[in-house]
Parts: sequence; C-alpha cells; structure tokens
Amino acid sequence: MSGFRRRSDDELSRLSDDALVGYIGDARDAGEAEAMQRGIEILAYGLRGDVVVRVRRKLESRSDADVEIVADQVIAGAMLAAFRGESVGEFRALLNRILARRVADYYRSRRGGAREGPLPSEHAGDDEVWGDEPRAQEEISGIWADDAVERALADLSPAHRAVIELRLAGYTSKEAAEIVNVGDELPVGLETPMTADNVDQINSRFRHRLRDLLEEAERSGDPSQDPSENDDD
Amino acid sequence: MTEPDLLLEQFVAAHRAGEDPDPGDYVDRLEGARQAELEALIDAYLARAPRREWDPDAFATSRARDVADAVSRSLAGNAGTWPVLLPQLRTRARLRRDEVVHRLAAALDASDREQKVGAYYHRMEQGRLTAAGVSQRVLEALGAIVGAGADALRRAGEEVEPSLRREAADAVFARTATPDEAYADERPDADGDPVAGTATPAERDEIDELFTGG
Repeated sequence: MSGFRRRSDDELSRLSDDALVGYIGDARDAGEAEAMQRGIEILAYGLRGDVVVRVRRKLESRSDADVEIVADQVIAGAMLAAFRGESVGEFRALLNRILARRVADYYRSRRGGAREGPLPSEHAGDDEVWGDEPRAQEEISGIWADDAVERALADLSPAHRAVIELRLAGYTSKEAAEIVNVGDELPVGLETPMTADNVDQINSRFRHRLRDLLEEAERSGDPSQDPSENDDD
Repeated sequence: MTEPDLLLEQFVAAHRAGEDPDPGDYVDRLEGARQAELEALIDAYLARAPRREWDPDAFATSRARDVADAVSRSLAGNAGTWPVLLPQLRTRARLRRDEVVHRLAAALDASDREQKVGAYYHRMEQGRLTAAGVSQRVLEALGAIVGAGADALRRAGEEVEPSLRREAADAVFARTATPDEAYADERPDADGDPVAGTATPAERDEIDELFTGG
C-alpha cells in the first residue's frame, strides 16, 4: 500500500509550488494518474498567466503567438525538469531560470543563423502573425534585467536577503519585518528584531545597487551577464 | 516614496486584487533608468507572486489545459517536448493538423501515402514516436511548414528522461493518449494508436524509413 492520499482541488490550490510538485511526484510514484494529472493542471493554470505577462515584456513587440509558445515552453520545461528531480525545493527558481534561458534562446536564434521561423518581412502585410522585425543586439539588454535583480540579491547577507525577497514579493517593510521576526530565534546575523525602518534602509541600499547594475548592463551589453549561463535545465 | 515605488505598489495592489494589470501601463509612465528599474521590479514581483487561484471553468477553456496535457504526454512519451511544441507551432502557423499532414506528405513526395504520413505525425504530436528515428528530411520539411528550424525540432524531441518515461507510461497513457478522431478508422496498434511503424522488414517502405530509420 503506497500511503498516497488524494487531495481535493482546494487543498492542492493552497499548496506551495514545491509542495504541489512533490504531490504530483508522489501521485506518479503511486500510479495515481488522475491525481497526477490534476496536480499538473493546477500548477500549469496557476503559473501560466504571469509567465505570459513576463515573456511578453521580455519579447516586447513580438507576436502573441510567439509569446504564447515561449511561455508554454517555459512552463512545460520547468515541470519536466522538476520531475527529473533536478530542483527539489526550488521549483520557482527553476522556472525563472528556464524563462530567462528561453528568452535568451529566442533572441539568440534571431540574431544567429538558426532562427526558428520566417522573418516578418517574409510575410509582408501579415504583422498580426509575425510581429516586428528582430531588434538590434543592443536593444535586447533588457532581457538581463532580472539577472541584475539576482546579482543585487546575491550581495546581501541571508537576513537582509530574506527581507528583500519579501519586499520583492509585494510585502511592505512592516510586513517583511514582522515575518522575519516570527519565531523564537532571530534570523542568522541579527542581534535585535528587524524593524520597518531597518527594512527600508536595506531596501534603499538594495535598490541603489540594482540601479548601478542596470546602468552597467545598459552601458556594456556584457554577454557575461547572460542569465542562461550555468543553467542546467 | 519614489515614483517607481509608487507605481510598483499600484501594480502589486491590482495584481493581488485579481486584476490582470499590464506592466506596460506602469512602466511607460517613466523614462530612462527609472523605467528599467520599475521593469525589473515588476518582473521580480511576478517571478515570486502566488499562483493564480484555481478556477476549473476558466481552466477548461485556457491554453493551460493544452500545456498540462502535453506535459503528461511528454512524461509518458519518448519524443521530448514535441507534444508541447508541435501543436503550438501549427497553431502559430494557423494550420489544422490535416493541413500539416497534407503539406508534409507532398513535401516528402508521398501524397499517395498521406494517411500513413498522418499516422506518423500523429504519433509525433502524441510523443509516441522516437525522435531519434525521424529523419532530417522529415524535420526539415515539417520545419518549413510550421516555421521552425529542423535542428530546433531535433533538440525538442530529445527524451525527457528515459527512466521516468518508463515509470510514467503505464499511469498516464490511458488518460492522455486519446486517439485522434481523424485517424479513428485506422487499425490501432497495441497502444491504441493508428498503426505506424509496425511494418515487418519486408513490408517497410520509404515512409517507414523516413520516420523511424533515423
């Protein structure tokens, strides 16, 4: 007997990404095909909308069809990689890495010889299908903006990173301070509880660093900042 | 509060309220470095935002359903992400499957064997044709039809994870690998798919070779 317990849709909706991926894996191991399928459905539905928005911003004026295709590749790729067991406990980070890589691949295929499809100019009068012509290389530096966030985060101590992650996730400084102070022990590196003012100061320094990195990327277009590097999806 | 902060706060509030805010509506209010900063912050927020609340009715008509089914097929099949990619490509090309098959057969000089080409293409979309066996000629012809590079199609067809495929196959095929109605009158193989790739060596023809000979 496997011990697998099938959960309701409501229960699955409340699971974190990683817990849901774990549930899907457990369902697969138990041979519970329908439970596995439902988990995949809830994960795909819950993520797809924001992935489409993010890809659209990174591809900017590309056609809707291209955006949809890249977005679906990101979601499917993240799920399949997760089921390979490469990302236990970090599904969202994996998805974000794959998103950066797929966008970089998209542009690389456009500016290299191995493009994926005809150029818009080959379909004159059909812009709805193919969108605009690829942009010049210097115009695509924006795709590394998310990498700048990650690099700025990497400069922080664990405690400071924890509150900035919360700020990036939409929490106020007061909420972020309350969350990291919960529990009997303070986060590593803190001797006194975090306050909203502390979070504001940390956030201010983080944003300053982020601006520096964005300006640096804008100036250099440095390929070394390509977020697809060290990506093992 | 700085302008990027204020706009970010407004974006987050709208997103949390279940709206579908367009980042461009916020980013375009700024210029230069502040615009890049807000773009990065909105992207960072969306990268961490909670999943959209489950809505089975909305799901039923969304493309997320196609993705979910394709993921299941990819897990259970042996054609990598073709179950995800191929339907997307023909959607982008605004082609029905029978139109793709018709053009593919013509490109392979096999218009008189369109049904057999169709059966093989069906297996490609279902993830049930070993990608390594599909010839470069087929991939180039298919790529030209749906607007993709043959090499990209080849890479996409690489297996997800052979050991996982074996585990998942039995559990998933019964639900996800529904035979296509267009080929319902064909003789099914052991898995319930239209017959293809089951010819004996003596019966093998050029089409079998193109789709299974590598």
